Amino acid sequence: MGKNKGDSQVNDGIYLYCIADGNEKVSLGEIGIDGSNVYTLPYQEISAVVHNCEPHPYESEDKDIVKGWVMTHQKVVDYAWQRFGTVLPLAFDTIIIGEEGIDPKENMKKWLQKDYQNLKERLNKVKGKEEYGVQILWDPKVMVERIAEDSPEIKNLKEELKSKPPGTAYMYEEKIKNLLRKEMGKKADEYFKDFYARIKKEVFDIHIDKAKKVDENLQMIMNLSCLVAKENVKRLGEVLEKIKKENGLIVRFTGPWPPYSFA
Amino acid sequence: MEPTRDARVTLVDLLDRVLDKGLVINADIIISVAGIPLIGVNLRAALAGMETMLEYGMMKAWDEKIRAWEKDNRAKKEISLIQGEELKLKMLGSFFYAKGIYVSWRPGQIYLTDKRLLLMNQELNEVMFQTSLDEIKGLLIQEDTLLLILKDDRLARLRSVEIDKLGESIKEAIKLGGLIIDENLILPEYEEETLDFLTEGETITHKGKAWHMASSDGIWKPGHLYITNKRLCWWYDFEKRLAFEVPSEKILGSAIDVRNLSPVLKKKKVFDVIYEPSSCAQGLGEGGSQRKVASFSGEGMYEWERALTRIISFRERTEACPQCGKKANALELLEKGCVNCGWVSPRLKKKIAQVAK
Repeated sequence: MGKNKGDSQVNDGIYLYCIADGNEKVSLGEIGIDGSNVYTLPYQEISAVVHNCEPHPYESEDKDIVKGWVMTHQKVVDYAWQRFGTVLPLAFDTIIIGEEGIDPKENMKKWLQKDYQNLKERLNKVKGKEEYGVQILWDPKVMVERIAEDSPEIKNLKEELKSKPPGTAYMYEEKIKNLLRKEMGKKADEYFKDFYARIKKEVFDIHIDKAKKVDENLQMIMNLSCLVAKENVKRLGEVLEKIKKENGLIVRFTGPWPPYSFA
Repeated sequence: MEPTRDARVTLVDLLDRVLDKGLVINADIIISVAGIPLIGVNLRAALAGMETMLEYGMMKAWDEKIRAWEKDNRAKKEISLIQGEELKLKMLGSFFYAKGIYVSWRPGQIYLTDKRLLLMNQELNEVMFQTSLDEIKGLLIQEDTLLLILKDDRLARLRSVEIDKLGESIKEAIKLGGLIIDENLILPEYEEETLDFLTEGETITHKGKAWHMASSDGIWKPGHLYITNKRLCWWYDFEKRLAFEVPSEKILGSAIDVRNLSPVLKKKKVFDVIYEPSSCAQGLGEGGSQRKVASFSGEGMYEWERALTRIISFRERTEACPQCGKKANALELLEKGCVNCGWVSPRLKKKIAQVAK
């Protein structure tokens, strides 16, 4: 794919990085994947940020190569974001192809035309805002101890267990474990509702993502993508700081990202 | 709380976005990329160590320079010979040193006299290996390594560019001394450890078990800490990868502290390494000269500190500018150029040219 340079010749495929606000027709230089020339294709008030490519997806067995592509994709989106102010990013490896007798540029234009209102609305929605990742995690070992401390029921069972013969003690242990599990679930639920409500106040929009396993020893209890007005980021940071301090939890706050989750 | 884009912390988060999210086009004009979500999953695991890769690229260039410079400055100190002792041969070489947590090839000057064989490190002015010739039972050359079997079946390993010459000279000196050398040798067993994260020319100067607390989540994890001639790095046992590393020139200092690691592990000695995060490697405009601390805990923390101090003091030497001769800190001279006459090292020129581009 190394020969996809210069924008005069289209190689039957167009790699799409993002849709940007504005209709400036401009080349951004050879900053794209494999050094391709990245340029804009304007349509009315919006532009697609693209490079010319073969009509095949970028695929490689070599992970280092794919790594490079993905990071480059992100860098181009970042650059366009800075340069044009507002963008709708696309996922890695979105390629528009041509059809018989139709240039991929034509196809692109058709799509921009058809979805114009929709794209314009979405661009307006994310204007002046940034995406942030908020992940809240806890250490289950610490939480179990804390919950065992806080629950009178569990405390009582533990006390009773001490005076029981082994067979009965086993039953008691099982009972305590079940109770702990239930209490942990309840706590996670309680936390989620509480934090969600507090975070919601500071942000424009929230997208709830699946909790992920990111660490051997920690459980993620909340994974959010937040669309935040630039002037409110500080307030969101303060809310997160409070959540972290009050509850002894681990909070990850990442960004600013282009609005990947709100495109 | 401030949001972060530090690649160390946010890589997975970023990949989730670039691979799984973004504007969706519901049209038959796009290629459907079968298998991409799959790439995504594998990639995330593979990418977790990416920032170290970036950092490493920079470090390598540095180390070459430091080594070249070091070589020029070597051979300043000489050994003092015993009265009547005759120097037969002198050459640069290295000795495999393994004692407790120290395991490394340590470079120095090899001296062969009519009485003894020794290797001295001039930087530290320290004799690292020494044996009298009558204690040498036999010797053997394997590829580039000279194996010396000593009287008590200890094995010493030496390396040099002219290893054959060294071997022959030792044999000759022994015979001249009227001693006999065993020709049918049986090698005592010894361990050979291969660590695949080591790069060309990299040797471990110090290694051992150590817990490490990742700054991203504050959790102590088990692993192994290594100090090499290029960097300090920590191997995460569970994930079997280098989870932390910092090039030695970015290390600013270290300290030993006593802290509670967890509600269970109380009052443990903690080895804090203060370093300058590599802003270029992050590439996301955070930069600046802020300091970071990496914490390790385990046995022998004081030995770790000593090993690190050696690296740091080595770096604080002064050197003369090759153009005007003004004295300056060697590393700064290489890294920033000469403040007096404006001399810039070729490597730095290249770097500047790249940034300008």
